[in-house]
Amino acid sequence: MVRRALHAELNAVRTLVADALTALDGKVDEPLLVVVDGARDRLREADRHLVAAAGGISPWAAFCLYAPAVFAAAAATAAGSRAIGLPAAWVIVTVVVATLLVLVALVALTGRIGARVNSRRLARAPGPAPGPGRARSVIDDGRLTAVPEPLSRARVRLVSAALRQVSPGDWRSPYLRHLAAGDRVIRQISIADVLLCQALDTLDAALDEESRWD
Amino acid sequence: VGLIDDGPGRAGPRSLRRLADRLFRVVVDAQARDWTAERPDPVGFALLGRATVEVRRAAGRYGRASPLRGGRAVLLAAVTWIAVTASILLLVDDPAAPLPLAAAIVCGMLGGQVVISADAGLSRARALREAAGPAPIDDPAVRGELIRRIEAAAAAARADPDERHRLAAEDLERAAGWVAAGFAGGGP
Repeated sequence: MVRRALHAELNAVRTLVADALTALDGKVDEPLLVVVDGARDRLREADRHLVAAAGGISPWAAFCLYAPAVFAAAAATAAGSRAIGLPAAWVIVTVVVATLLVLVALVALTGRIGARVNSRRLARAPGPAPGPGRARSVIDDGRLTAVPEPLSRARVRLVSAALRQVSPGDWRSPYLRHLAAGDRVIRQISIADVLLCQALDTLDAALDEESRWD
Repeated sequence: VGLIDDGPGRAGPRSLRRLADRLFRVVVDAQARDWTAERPDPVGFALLGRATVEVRRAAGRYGRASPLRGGRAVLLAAVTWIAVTASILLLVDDPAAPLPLAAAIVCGMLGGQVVISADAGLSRARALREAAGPAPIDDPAVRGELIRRIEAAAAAARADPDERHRLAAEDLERAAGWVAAGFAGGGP
């Protein structure tokens, strides 16, 4: 899938997650509070991972950022330490230490740049989610009446976005497992998917429990 | 293993992180099978995901993870970096001159990056060729082994003199519960 299409899909999923959060808004009675609070926390966390799924900076792009900076830092340190008259071996040691320090700083910096890039990529206002209007509240009189419908749609849409990142010929579980464990984009989608499934599952279980009260 | 492993018969951050990694692999496997509709079940891996979080939290109570993680490829990349830089410096006349020195370091960095990319490509190719075996989430032996290991770690944590470590026992108890519920044929 083209990158822009991925970002549009991620934004659509985020809209659905936000709708589900709105639907879960409201005061619930004590026994349900833990469940609903837990589900809300999971949805907020899933949203953070959806932003991270925009991809950040690829390893080679980061390398292109690092190489000139490291080159400049190393050359400057070498020139400086030679100017103060250090012997050759100490020049090399100084330069190696300086390079490592610069690299640590750069890694921290790329992390922050990556986060900025991701939020820029997903900043375009997501269009209204297709389907029946805004979310209906699922909390009535302190009780849960249903699992928010946008939540199940968000999950389906997220999985299809993940699968569209992979060519259909490779839709096999060992490869998807490999991507879910390590790919920059799919790893984050996988975490968000687990969180959405957990929210769906706890709300389902709570509804079951409720139906047993009557 | 050896010097950097946890003491025998103790729960500790390293054995707990290994346990969490094992759980994590079961989770992504079940998730991938759900995505391909080979074994549709979004509930099992969601529950096991909770167990993974609890085990990681327990490991966190023993201490932070080492910043130097990444395994074989990262180690090999570091060795490549050192080797490439050193061999260039041995070839040039004045290794302490600023430009050759900086160039050697950047070439070494490039070598390390190539190693990391090659490793990623190799594991991708391996994953593409790999046959989909039976799902570990369906395997009662895996379930038994995981629960046994988590409970052993919980027992060790409960007997720990350090109060923070004793808190890990509660996390691990919960983790054992989620594992029991998450595996096929489990149930609360």
